[in-house]
Amino acid sequence: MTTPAIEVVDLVKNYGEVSALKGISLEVARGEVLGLLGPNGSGKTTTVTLLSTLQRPSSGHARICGHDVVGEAARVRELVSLTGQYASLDEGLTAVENLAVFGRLTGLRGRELKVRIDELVEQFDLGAERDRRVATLSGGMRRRVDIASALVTRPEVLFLDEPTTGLDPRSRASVWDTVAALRAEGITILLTTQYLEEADRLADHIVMLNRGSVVAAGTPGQLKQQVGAAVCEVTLVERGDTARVIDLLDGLELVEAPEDGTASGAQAHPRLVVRAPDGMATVAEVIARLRGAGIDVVDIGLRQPSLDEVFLQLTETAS
Amino acid sequence: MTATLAPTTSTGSRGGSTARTSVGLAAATATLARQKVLAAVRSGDAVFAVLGPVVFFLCFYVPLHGQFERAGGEYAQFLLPIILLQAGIFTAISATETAGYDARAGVHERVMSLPIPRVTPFLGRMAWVLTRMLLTLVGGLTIGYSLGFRFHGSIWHTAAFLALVVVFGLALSMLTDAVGTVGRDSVSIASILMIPQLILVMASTGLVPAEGFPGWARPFVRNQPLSVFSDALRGLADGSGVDLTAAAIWSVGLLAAGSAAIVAAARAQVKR
Repeated sequence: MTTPAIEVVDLVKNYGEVSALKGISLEVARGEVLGLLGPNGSGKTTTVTLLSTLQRPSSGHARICGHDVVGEAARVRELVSLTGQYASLDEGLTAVENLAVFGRLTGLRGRELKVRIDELVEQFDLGAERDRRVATLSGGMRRRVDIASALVTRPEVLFLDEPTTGLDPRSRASVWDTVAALRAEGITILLTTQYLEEADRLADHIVMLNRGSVVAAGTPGQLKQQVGAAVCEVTLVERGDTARVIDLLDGLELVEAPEDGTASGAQAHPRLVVRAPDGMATVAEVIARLRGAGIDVVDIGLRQPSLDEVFLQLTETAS
Repeated sequence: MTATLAPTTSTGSRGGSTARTSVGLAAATATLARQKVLAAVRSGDAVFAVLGPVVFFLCFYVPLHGQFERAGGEYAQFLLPIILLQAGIFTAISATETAGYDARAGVHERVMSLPIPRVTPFLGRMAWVLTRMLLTLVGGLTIGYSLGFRFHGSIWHTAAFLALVVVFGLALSMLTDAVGTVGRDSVSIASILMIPQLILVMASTGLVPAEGFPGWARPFVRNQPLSVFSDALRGLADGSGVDLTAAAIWSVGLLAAGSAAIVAAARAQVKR
C-alpha cells in the first residue's frame, strides 16, 4: 500500500482561547479529490493553513505523502501548492510575469520556464491577457492566472481554498473544468468550499466540518444515504390544497412544506417533500391518498436528498 | 474580449511535468527583488526615488540660499545631507506600503508555502530599499553637485558618507517594514508617517543652523537624530573635524530596533 497523499490524525489548533480545530482526522489517497465542506469559521482554512506548513498544529499531526508538516516542513513545501480565495498575485506585474515569479520560486528557470509559461497561457486561455497587468484583469481572469501560477511546476498535492468564492457562473465552470483535468492527471486535490453542489460534483470524498469538528465523511453518495432514505417530492397544482394534503399525508415524515398563504409567491406551485423510507412503495401510497381525495399534482417523484439537506441535518444534530 | 472560458484542448499537462524543487536563498531573493524593482518601476516609485530629492532640494534651496550665502556659507553643501536623509525617510514610508502589500490575506500564505527560505520575502523587500536608496543618492548628488555641493574629504570620507545615508534609510525601513507587516491598513499608516517626518525635517539643523531656532527648542533641535546624522554627513563631506560617535550610536540603535521589530512582526504573523 502506498502512503496516502494526505494523512491527518487528531489535528488540533487553538488560537488563545478559541479552538479552531478540535481534533480532526482524515485521509486522502493519491490522485483523489477531497472536498472539505463547511460554513464560514468551520475550520476549513485552518486545516489548509496547517497542511501547507504556514502554522503549527497545537497537537496531533499531519503528513503529506508521508512527510510530517512540522518536522519536514521544507520537504512538504516542495510537494504542495496553495491557491486561495484571494488572488495572491502581484498586481503591478503582468500575467506572464507573475507566472515567471512563481516558476522561479519553485525551481524552474530559463528556457524550460518559458516553454511552461506558454503552455499555461494556452491551457488557461490567457492569450489575450498575457501581457496585461493583473490590476486590469477581472475577478475571473485573476483567478485563472492565480491557479495557473500554482501549477508552473507540478505539485503532488494542490490546495484549492474556496477557489470559486465570488466568481460568476462561467468562471466557476472554468475552475471546475480545471479541477477535473488535474484530477485526471493524478494530482491530489484538497478543495475547500461552502458550496455543496461544488463538492458533490468534483470530490471523490467529502469531509464536512462544523465548528472545528468532522460531522460527516464519505463519498457524496454515502453521505446522502447517511441521512436516510430517499424523499418523495410532490408538486401541487393548487396552493389552496396545501393544508389538506398535509393532513392526507399524516403518518409520513414531512421534510419540507410551503409557507402558508402568499409567502412564497415566487413559486407558482407549492411543493411538499416527505421521507420515503420504502422508496417506490411510499410514492405509490402518496399517489393513492391524493387520488382518493381528488387532488391534482403537477409532478410527483422519488429522489435522493440533496447535499444541502444532508448538511443541514448533520449540522443541526451536531449543534 | 472574446476569450472563451471553456477548457482548451492543450499541449502538455495542466499540472505541469517538472516537479517542484527547493530554491536557494540567493536565487529566491534575486527573484523577489526583481519583482519588487519591476513593480516599483511600473508604479512610478522608482522615478519618485530619483526626482524626490531633486524637487525638495530646489524647494528649500531657492528661497533660502541667498540669505544663507550672504552670511558666508555654501548652502548646497549645507543642505544636501538633510535632503538625502529625508529621501531615506520617504524610502522607509514606501517600505511600509510594500510590506503591507506582501502581508495581504492570501499573498503571505501563498509565498510562505513556497519551497524558499523563510527570510527571502523580507530580503527581497530590503533589496528594493537598497536599490531605492541608491537611486535617491543619484538624484540628490546630481542636483547637489550642479548647485555647488562637493566632497572635500578622502575617498574614505566619501564612502562613509554614502554608507551612512544608506544605513539610515535601511534601518528605518526595517522598522516600517515591520509596522506594515502587522498593521491593519498600511496605506493609511504610510500617510500618517508623513507628519512626524515633516516635523523632524523642519525642526532639525539640516535646513538652518541651531541658532535659527528659539532657545527653548535648541536642545531638541540639536540632538534629534536627523540633526545628528546631518551634522555627521556634513563633516564627512567637508572631510574635517568629524565626530561620528553620535551618528554611529544612532545607526546601531536603529539597526538593532529594526531587527527586533522584524523578528517580532514575523512572530506575530505566524500566530495570526
